[in-house]
Amino acid sequence: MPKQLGIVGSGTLGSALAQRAAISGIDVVLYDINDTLLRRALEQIRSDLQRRVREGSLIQESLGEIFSRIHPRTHLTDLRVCECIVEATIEDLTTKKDLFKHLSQDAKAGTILATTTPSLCVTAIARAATRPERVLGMHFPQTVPPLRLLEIVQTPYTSKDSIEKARGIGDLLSISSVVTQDIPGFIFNRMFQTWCGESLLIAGHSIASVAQIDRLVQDHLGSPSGPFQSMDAIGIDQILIQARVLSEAHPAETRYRAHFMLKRLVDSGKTGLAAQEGFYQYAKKTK
Amino acid sequence: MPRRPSKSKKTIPRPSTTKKGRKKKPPVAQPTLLIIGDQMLVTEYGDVCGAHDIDCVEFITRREDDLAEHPRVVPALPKKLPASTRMVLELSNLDIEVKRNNLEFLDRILPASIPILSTSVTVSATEQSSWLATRNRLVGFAALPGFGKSHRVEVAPTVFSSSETLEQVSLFFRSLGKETEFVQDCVGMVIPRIVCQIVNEALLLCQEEVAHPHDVDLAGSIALGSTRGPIAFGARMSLKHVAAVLHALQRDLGDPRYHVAPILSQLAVSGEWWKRMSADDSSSHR
Repeated sequence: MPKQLGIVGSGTLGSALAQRAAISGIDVVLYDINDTLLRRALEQIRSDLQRRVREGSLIQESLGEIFSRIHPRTHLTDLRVCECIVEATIEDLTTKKDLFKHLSQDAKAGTILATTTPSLCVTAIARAATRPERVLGMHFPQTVPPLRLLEIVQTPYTSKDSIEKARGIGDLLSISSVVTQDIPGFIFNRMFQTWCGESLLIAGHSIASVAQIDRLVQDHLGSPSGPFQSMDAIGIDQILIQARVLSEAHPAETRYRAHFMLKRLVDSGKTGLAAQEGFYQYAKKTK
Repeated sequence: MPRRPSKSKKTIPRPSTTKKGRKKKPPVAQPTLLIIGDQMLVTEYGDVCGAHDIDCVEFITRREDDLAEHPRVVPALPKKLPASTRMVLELSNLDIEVKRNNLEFLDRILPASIPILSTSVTVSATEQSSWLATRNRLVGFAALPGFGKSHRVEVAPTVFSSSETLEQVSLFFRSLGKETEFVQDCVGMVIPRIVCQIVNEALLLCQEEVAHPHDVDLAGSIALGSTRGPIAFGARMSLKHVAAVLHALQRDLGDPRYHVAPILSQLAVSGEWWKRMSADDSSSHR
């Protein structure tokens, strides 16, 4: 089990992972290219932790200890101590390949290197590393609440030992994990897009209203929210990006085609809950 | 193939109005609900109705364990139906020919005033009503194995459905503790179409060996936020019914998105590998 988890990138996912790891008792080396980005991430983590205290899921006394487990760093070489390094940077294959080449040269022998890419080819990233058997994907699909699932993406090079270590990290972070081959969309997005895509078609053909579909799905599947409520919560812009990943990978398959309604909503700024309007309208929060 | 008549004695609620349109209490007679169709559905709805003290008589005209290749043996329909029959549930999804036989028989033998609630997930309610002489008596609804316990039911009126029939249907489902959602009459309706596509996609992932079925089911249940995974849903609904809905969607809409995963077709016929897959669970892949 890793004593120290390295995280490259202090954006939304990187910060959320650092926070979850620190709460789970793991020391985190959080890397980003400058102090400003790291400071912003730490402020966000502090604010999230304080919200948890207000909600009662954490006690005030534990905050200091949790926060002290997160070590912000601006030098990649500081990640050398980590048994697992998770990359959560921008979606650009060249950037990721360069990073993994660099990380794999610096990292300890047993360190596993993971990318959180939701759409790029993990195998291509692994090939850039000097020890591809230590490289895998750790995809955290967008869920409500976040970090409910870890998809461990294995490439043809990934060793069993690396997969077991990744599973161990999932267990430590209290996140359910599954192992998937390196295919576009992995498991989660193939299932999620099928669910949303079919619901969009039904609503688009006026067979039932958006609200009816949500009510029926909640009742029959026992889901806390229906497909349209879920798309609003995650962000319709994000759903459209995921849909395009699948449709570009399978241009001949009509079932992965992004529905026009998604694009229309995104174009008109109705991206869901965050924009206060998507498939539903939401009341503005009063301060 | 008659099934045990249930012992319950509750009346089927009927809307009944005075000349001025004011509602009065339902009649005190002992009307009977006739349930006819596929084995799993007849059994399930018989149990649901029995649990709500509704008197019903059941006939199974298609068993789920019939192999698709075998010549169909349609059990002889009864020559006489109970005189007290006040409503019919026709629950055939697997074989449209059997469904049509059943509906034509019921239409011939029952008085025109008796409504027929017929599953319309594999053939639209409007198409079904075109088989009948009394077209306004038929209303479609969504029924697949496992749906009997849900609190909401999709009902698809046809262009012929009378308002009185629809009211009777709503009252009937309310007596089973179900809310009615009126949706457009279309093959697959809403939930069957969504769930069958999800099951198909999950089994496609298994066939492509993207992941172990256990992992597909776990990721699927989190993706849908549901109480069980897509493979478990497929098992509950019976893959024969899932395949029948998908075949009907492909036939009706002509869209290759409803192409049935080969593994689903095989499992629907044999079921053997399915059982092995369930038995393996997660122990062997970790």
